[in-house]
Amino acid sequence: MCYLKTFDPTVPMAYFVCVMSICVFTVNPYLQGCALLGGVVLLLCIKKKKALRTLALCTAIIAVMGLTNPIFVHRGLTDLFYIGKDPYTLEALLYGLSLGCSIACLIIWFSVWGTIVTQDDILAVFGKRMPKTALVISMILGFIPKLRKQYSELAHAHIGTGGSRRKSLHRTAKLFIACLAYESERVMDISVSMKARGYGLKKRTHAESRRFRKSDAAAIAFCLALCITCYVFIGTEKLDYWYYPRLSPGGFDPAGVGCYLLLCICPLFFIIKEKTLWRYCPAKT
Amino acid sequence: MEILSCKDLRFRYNGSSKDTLTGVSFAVQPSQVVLLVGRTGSGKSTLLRLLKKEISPVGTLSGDIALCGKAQSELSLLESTQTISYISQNPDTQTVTHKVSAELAFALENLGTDPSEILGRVGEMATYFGIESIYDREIDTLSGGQKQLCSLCAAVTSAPKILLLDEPAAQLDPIGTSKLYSALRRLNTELGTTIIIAEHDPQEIFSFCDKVILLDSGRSTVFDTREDFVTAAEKDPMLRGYIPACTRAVLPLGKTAFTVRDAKNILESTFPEQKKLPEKKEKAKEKKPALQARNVYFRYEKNGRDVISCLDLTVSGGEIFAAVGSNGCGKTTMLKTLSGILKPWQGRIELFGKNIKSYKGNSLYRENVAVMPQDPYFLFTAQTVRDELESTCRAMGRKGGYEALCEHYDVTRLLDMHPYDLSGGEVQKCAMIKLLLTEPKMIFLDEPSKALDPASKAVLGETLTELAQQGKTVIIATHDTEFAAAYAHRCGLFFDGRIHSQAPAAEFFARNRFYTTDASRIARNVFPQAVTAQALEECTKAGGEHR
Repeated sequence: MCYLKTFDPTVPMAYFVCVMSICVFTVNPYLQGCALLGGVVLLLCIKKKKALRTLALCTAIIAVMGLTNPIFVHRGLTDLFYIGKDPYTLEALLYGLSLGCSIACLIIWFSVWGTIVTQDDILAVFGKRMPKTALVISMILGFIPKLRKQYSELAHAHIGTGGSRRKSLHRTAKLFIACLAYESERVMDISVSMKARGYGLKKRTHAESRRFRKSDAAAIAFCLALCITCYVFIGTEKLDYWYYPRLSPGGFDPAGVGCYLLLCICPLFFIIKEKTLWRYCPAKT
Repeated sequence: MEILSCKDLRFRYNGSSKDTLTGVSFAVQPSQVVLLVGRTGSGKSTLLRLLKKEISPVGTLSGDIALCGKAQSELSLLESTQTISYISQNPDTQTVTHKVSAELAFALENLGTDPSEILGRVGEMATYFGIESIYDREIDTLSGGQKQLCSLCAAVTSAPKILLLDEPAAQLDPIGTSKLYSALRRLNTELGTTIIIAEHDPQEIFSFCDKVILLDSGRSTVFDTREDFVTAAEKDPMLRGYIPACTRAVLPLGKTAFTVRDAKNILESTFPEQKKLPEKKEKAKEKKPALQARNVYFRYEKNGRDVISCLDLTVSGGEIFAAVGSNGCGKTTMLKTLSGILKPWQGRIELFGKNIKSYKGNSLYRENVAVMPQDPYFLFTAQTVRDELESTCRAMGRKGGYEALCEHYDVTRLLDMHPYDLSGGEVQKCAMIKLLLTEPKMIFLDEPSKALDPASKAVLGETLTELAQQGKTVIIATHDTEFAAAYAHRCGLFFDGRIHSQAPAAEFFARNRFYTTDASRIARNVFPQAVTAQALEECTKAGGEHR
């Protein structure tokens, strides 16, 4: 995964936006297939065995959505069988599977996003334009675990002096208020520490961890070009697909689907490149 | 030319009826290390914050403060930020961001430094202090010592001329303290940074400080040399606690030493070598054990490591037992497990001969066990101390009854105050009263001496001794070896999830070579039984007279 990390964080962020903006809103099975294929391959490459749990969950979601949709939706002309008086149609079954695929794509691509785009990458991207917002995000990220830790310490102190262990609303509210009071005291000290280090004196800048290079611009341009091409095909109705009342006969345009497939699997090129480079790297022991 | 000077400084907080500082005057030369001592509430923190314009407390100030030959009022906020840096005692409230890298860049970002330059300067600082290994870590995952070192680096990235530190080692173990002070020493000797440091335990700083300022009820007394301070402190029982063990050890011989090495050499050249360790005291009549832990294991996560592993411990009634160990080694988890707050996944804990699991409901924490957390402020959820104590009394099913204890501990005047307005020593006493109201037979204390001045430590120690004499069992987790040596009956080293080498306190510290008190390090070859500064001073005195 190191190779993908060699790009400026803007590149993976732009890439994910491009992929997800299409796969979330489309019901075209060919596009969904591309997104699913790309997502599954990437997830397996990145997380290896750990990806299996996510994939199992996604499979279950697709199956449940596919099997249950015809129970509630009876549209479609191809009756497979009847449940009571209601038909269980092939179109509703496939539409359910398509909805399941959309959710699965979302889970898989966000899982890939979570591994590649870290909190620091988000801060680095926003920090350049909005240093103060980046600082607030960074402070919140630090504040949440502290608050959680403080609450647990307070609960332990409460138990250790005869307080109830039962997690009642009253106890939780009492401890939470005490926790906030404690934190407000700490925040005063933190503000002293901020002031002591010159916060608010000058226009804030943000440490630049990496310069934006030509290769980053080229990668973004490549992703955008593929994404815009897909939008053009979608806009010209060449990738339109419908399930009711009968399955759409079209919806497959080789160029449009090819562009999206390329967009979904292009990170593989860098993963393979990295593996090849590492395989023949003289530094490898 | 003086780098910093204060003349007739008076300060009163808004809403307060008396001055916090009255007529404080002193001058500091460039590259000097100045130690600021005084009891809790004597105005040390106020004085340090007044020296830095941006964080000056709100109140009425009179007198003159001059920095680098310029009056403080003439200095812009930016100049003041670049000239002086400040570090407070709590590393958790020092850090602003969530990662070490972001923290180190914080000051430079505030000063509008060119983004492409920031990382270069941060990298230089991280390399200089040797913290590259933690550079990418989240601050929440660091130990106390690492956090404070990170705060120090973050404070000096803007290359200040003066560094102000308010009890920076108050929450650190001896190893963390030592690392922090060696970094400070390097800043002073290699970069010429002027250091002004307020400290309750000046053991480490004493070896390289140039000047001592004593603050007492807002008044300052300046001692131009360490020797002058020692001479004055020797005669004043309130100040004796500020004299490091190495100096106290050789005082009766009319000599002066400011390092363990010098004191050790003086003692070993004066007194004959005594190799014998203190004799093992004959086992007193076996008392009934109050706490018995057998083969206890605890971990926080199913697949995590065991923080407590194969722990065996027996503590008798009326005994003070201290588990010593470094920050983050698991002492707090051990206390919480032994006191039943955390449930072990394996092993048996018996309290007063009864399995801890058989105490149902709140019966364990009412009239049996009480636990003082590391931060005693956690015990207070009410608006005033009185409300808190009354609520504890109500929970115990009685009306009032706290007044006598308040009288005894001299905190009646604090009853109507908000707990967060109390000083460290005061809140410690109020927390102790809250614990005693539950009428416990066993008290667990987590780092009770943390951030206390020597006088408050002595009061706490006496309170614990008094409780033990009443038959209560006291179990302490601490990294304060001096406190454990002075007040515990038995000690053990908490390491690798269990307690090792349990022994009577004197024997424990006399046997330890590294994790021990300064007094023991100094005198192990001549007075092996002396493990506290006071005991060593008495031995030297007696030995000197004998000679």
